[in-house]
Amino acid sequence: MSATGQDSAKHVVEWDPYAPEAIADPPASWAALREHCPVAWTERMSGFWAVSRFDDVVSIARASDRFNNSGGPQFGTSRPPLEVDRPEHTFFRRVLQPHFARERVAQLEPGVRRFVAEMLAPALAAGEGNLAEVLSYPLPARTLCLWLGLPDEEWVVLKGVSEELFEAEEGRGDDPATRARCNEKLYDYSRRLVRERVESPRDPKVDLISGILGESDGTHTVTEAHCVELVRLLLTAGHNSTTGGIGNSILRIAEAPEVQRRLRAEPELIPDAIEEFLRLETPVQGMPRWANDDVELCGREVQAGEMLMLMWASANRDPERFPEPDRCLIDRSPNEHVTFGRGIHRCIGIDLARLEIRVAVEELLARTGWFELTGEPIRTTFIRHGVAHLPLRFREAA
Amino acid sequence: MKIAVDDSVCTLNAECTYAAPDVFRIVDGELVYDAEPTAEQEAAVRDAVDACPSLAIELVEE
Repeated sequence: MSATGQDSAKHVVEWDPYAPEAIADPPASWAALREHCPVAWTERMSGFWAVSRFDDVVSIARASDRFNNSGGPQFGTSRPPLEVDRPEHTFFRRVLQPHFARERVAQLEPGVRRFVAEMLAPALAAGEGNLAEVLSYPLPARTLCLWLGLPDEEWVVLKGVSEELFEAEEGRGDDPATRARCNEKLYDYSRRLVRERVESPRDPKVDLISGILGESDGTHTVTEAHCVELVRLLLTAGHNSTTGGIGNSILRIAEAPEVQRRLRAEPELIPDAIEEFLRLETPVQGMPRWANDDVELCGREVQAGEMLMLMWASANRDPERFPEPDRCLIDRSPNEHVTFGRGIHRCIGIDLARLEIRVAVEELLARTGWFELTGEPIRTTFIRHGVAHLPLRFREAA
Repeated sequence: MKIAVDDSVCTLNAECTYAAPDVFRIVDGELVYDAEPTAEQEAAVRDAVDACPSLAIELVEE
């Protein structure tokens, strides 16, 4: 490509995340990048540098003064706090943080447990089921509705539109018209919801939108327009990745009888095991940053304004940081995976995601004697990694 | 200078333990810290405050 002399060929193409071999074996594809080309140019998504080594990924994530988050908002306008930089970012995190506080998240646990029990019941009665359909897809969207104070049944709409949007992305349906239509539906939903809260505010201590609207630090103020952007972000980011985390964890357990036996015998290991599943099967495989200035990285000349994809999934398997990186060690310690990101933009919903995955795994193990795959699971990959089809059979005991 | 950490919003991101490892540690799933760091540690502590994604650390100037 570099020899064509066309203006569009800015750099030599070194990697294609959608190439058949990369899709067939992503960890092998990242291992090759880490070893031979740790900052690699791809023309996908309008062109970006894939950063694959743990140390580079983490240092760029921490250097928010040199690599920004606002260089290419996914849908045109910046959705705080993810797609804004300091100082606005600090203001939005400060305003949002109480709504993600440990106690607030813990209050959701009984509701989440009830959802899981309800969702599993028909499949358990039937002795088998597609756990993606009955559990990993509905649970996070339904929990999001509970947390945002939305009617319970709304999760069907939110999940439906989010999935249609995902399926229309580059590398899958590659359908910009559908993407635009789905995005607009989600914005409409967000606008309606925020307007409702403006007109009839709820308890600001409990309701996120009522709680943040109008908050000010003297310099910045949360406007209705900010709320619309922020809720729009939550309507996808608030459940998609957790769906991946739940499906990936259950699949890992179903595929490894020794892991399943151990977690049944020692359920107190479940949280650490989930961290290991999150390391090996990273639901959000990478997140973008944009270079403020021209910079040299691993011998590559990155130009100001170019996008860098911090490949969390690759960093999580870097042998320089994780001994035997491809082995699943459910009590791995330390386990400093970067699945939730690093630096100031680290996932704000960590506790909520961990809660949902843990309760899903705990309840599934507690309500079954044994489970195993009955067919080929269908994986989704790059840039969201999850399980779209997860057929399990349940038995009394191993 | 004293440090105050808001436990209710700390999600153990551990960014402070990288910025100021002499002051902040995670022990058995809990954040442990020296509430009254020395003057030599002040710069690192300010980095830790700055690095916390949850904005959980505050400096109380005396």
